[in-house]
Amino acid sequence: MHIVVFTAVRIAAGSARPYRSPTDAAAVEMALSLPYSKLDVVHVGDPLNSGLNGYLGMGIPSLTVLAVDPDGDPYPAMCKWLEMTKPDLILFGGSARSGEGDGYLPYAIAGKMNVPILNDTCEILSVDAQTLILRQALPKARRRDITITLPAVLTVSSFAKPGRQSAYGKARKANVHTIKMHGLAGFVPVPVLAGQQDKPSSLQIAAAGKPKSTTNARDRLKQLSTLKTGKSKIIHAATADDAVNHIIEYLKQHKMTTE
Amino acid sequence: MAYKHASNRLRRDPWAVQYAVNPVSGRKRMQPSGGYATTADEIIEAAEYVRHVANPSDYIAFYFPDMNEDDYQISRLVTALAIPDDCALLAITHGEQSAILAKHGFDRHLILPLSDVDESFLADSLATALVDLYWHYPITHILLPDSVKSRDLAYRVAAQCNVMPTVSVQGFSAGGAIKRSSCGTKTVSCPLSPVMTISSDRIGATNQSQGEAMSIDWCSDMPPSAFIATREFSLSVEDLPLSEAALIFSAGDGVKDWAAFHQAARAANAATAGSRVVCDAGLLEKKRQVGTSGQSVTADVYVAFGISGAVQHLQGIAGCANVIAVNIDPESPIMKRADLGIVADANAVLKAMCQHSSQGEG
Ligand SMILES: Cc1cc2nc3c(=O)[nH]c(=O)nc-3n(C[C@H](O)[C@H](O)[C@H](O)COP(=O)(O)OP(=O)(O)OC[C@H]3O[C@@H](n4cnc5c(N)ncnc54)[C@H](O)[C@@H]3O)c2cc1C
Ligand SMILES: Nc1ncnc2c1ncn2[C@@H]1O[C@H](COP(=O)(O)O)[C@@H](O)[C@H]1O
Repeated sequence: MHIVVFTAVRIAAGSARPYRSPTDAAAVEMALSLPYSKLDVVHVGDPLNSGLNGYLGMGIPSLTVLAVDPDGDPYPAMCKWLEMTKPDLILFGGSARSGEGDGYLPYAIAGKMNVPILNDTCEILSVDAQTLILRQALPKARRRDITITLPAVLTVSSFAKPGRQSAYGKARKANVHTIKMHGLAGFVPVPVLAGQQDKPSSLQIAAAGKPKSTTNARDRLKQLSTLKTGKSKIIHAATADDAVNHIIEYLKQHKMTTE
Repeated sequence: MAYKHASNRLRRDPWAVQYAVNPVSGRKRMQPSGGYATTADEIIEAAEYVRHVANPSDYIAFYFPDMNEDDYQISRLVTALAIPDDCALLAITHGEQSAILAKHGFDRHLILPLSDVDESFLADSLATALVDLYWHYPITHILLPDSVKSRDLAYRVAAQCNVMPTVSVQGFSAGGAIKRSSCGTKTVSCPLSPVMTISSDRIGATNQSQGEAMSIDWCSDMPPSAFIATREFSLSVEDLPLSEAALIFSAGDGVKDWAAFHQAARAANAATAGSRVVCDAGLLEKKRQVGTSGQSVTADVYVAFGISGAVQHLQGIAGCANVIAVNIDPESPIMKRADLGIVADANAVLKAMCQHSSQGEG
């Protein structure tokens, strides 16, 4: 099984220091636990970026850097490189909402390669030749086990096992393998618009036709003063049982009990 | 009744800014947390006319996975605009809801039945179905709610259509879609994409017209999925990171009967947490501390037993949808934060809860 993990470098908001993305490191950790025949940890950008040490120190055999302009879009380089290498499993991190990106990149890559994508993987339960059984993290502490056939793209959840600590010695010994990317013209970034755009969008027309509001600012302010606010309800419970009944009733209303 | 989130939290209405007068300077100051949105019924009463679109030349489609008020509310973002007469608003749902959809201003309604697909991985086949629709009807935009689930779906649709989606849209202007900048302080204008997710938190009340919500046909089976979902389950409360818990029982210095606290939490299938005072005292593990120097939690219901509600504690529960407080002191700050405040001895209540649950089993 040939695995590729794409690892980005994030920039700390305050200090502007580069650091490894936690979910990308978790993706590396997940890959290291699998029986791979080949593992490529790949970064698109600058091979000298010091944020890469966070991955190099995880004990990976080597790190591949697809060298592009520092501000370049990683998408074309990823597409071209994947087309050449054709891995079985591609891991991305980054479904944490706090990142700069919106996390669309893995979907764009999966779409381009025409392979299925599964979001928020938190654990790989079993591997059997071309079949994986994995666990997906859903909102509200739910989990779902899913069987997929390779090739596939996975994004790794922030609830996956975190990446191991980076060791300085290992980071120094690991080698960085740089590939200069050329001829990316055929892999243009994803366009915003597609298909049915031969006339201006109705939304555009609609927004230009604003405002449709029938009230003026003073009316709205007056309206506001009559709006209800979310006030708490205070109950002086006569007995403990009385209090319990109120709590259970509330939990039932909010679908929190199975009774 | 005011508008509620799916999680049942009262929805803040950003338009409902209230003003307070500073007693010293006499200046007006905004109090953004003042008001709550009006209910659907109140808006519908205000609807002025019924729109009739005979032959739509294009559609703006809304996908409503859960068919709840929270979902439908995103339509208000569009119905507040001056939609051209030949553009139809299309609601895509998984069930029969035409009456309410008409009230929310939809001109057309399409049902994607979900039976016989429960074994497969839904997002995958749903995305293909939506893309089929997108190409079959002249749909110019598909708008989805901004939940984790719908965002995944939006990305799948966008990737299949080979377009860049625009997510977390808060409004529209002549220049495009309006969303919050990545640093979160400003709003920025983004291109209108065929696939957009709408974050509904910011949508206020507007008068709107009603639609007809006429059914349109789509007789296609759900496309197959590349995945097989074998099992879905909830994590047991013991395995649960506190940040993921939906129901939390939290103890403060007022709790003395710890056996009852733990037993009551177990019976209610609630995760346990506490204030700094009890964690510092070693009565609960440090990792269960909620607050500024502990964890932030986002439970649907947070039940605070004997917690005074210091600001450092309240900060940790800012993301909780509903708070119940049990405290002997009706004046304690937690009572102001609570949706339901119960003035009672927490230990007696916990004991009664244990008795109640053991009776339930017997
Ligand atoms: C820098 C800093 C960081 C902090 N970080 C945190 C933090 O992360 N988390 C945190 O929780 N605190 C934090 N604190 C501490 C915080 O200020 C409060 O001291 C603490 O939250 C109070 O905990 P408490 O409500 O359990 O106790 P108390 O304030 O002592 O309140 C006990 C409450 O229990 C009620 N009570 C008593 N007996 C009963 C009874 N029999 N039945 C019902 N109610 C009863 C009382 O009326 C009272 O309201 C921090 C403080 C500082 C300065
Ligand atoms: N420059 C990059 N090099 C390698 N992988 C990247 C790069 N940028 C983003 N990624 C991957 O794409 C995921 C989503 O990134 P983002 O779109 O920035 O949220 C990240 O978690 C990485 O796995």
